[in-house]
Amino acid sequence: MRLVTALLAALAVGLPASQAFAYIGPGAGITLIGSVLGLAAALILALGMTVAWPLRAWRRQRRARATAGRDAGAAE
Amino acid sequence: MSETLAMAALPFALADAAMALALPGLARLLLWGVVAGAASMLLYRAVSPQRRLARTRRAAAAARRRLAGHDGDAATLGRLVRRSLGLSLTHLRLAIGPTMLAGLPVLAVAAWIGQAYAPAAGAGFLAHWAWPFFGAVLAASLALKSALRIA
Repeated sequence: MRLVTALLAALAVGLPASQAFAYIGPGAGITLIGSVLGLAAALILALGMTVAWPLRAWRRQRRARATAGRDAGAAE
Repeated sequence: MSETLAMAALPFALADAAMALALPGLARLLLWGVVAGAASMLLYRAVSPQRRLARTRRAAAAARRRLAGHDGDAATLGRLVRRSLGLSLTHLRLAIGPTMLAGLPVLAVAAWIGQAYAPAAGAGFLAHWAWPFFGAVLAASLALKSALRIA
């Protein structure tokens, strides 16, 4: 219900507005661009790390096996 | 409605008339840009939670660094992803409202210049008032943002 109210309010404010009223101040606008870029970086990083995780886990396991093999060889 | 607008424009017109005694048109235009840019940034600083914004930005950057350096289990990866995205969204949520509000002083001055000032300038250089005006707005607001370390 709150979402519908918010959407209706946004439409009521946004529909009669001309292009000029979409203006965002340049200094504060740069802060907002920084926020959006930060969010984009977080999204790309999250996606990249999630996709790369199986590969990194496999490399970690292989390293652990190699280390265990070396330790066993040294003990014998 | 037009009478209300004329009343609202009166302070701008009076200030511009006073400045016109000493300054040429381009200098006045640049000065209006500086005033609007400074007012915009000061309004942004006043209405935005500056400490929380700075803290959230630092925390989000640290969370991204931790996530980039993670080489462990999937549960920790999920927690780091959630924290990183959550902090970035929080930063955006904190900045968006004050940013919209901070555009109002520039809009008010630009609307007045567009209605009353620019037509009087004729077809000369000042008819293209938007470039010097918004250039001055940008320079002033960025200088103030840097000088006052506005987050």
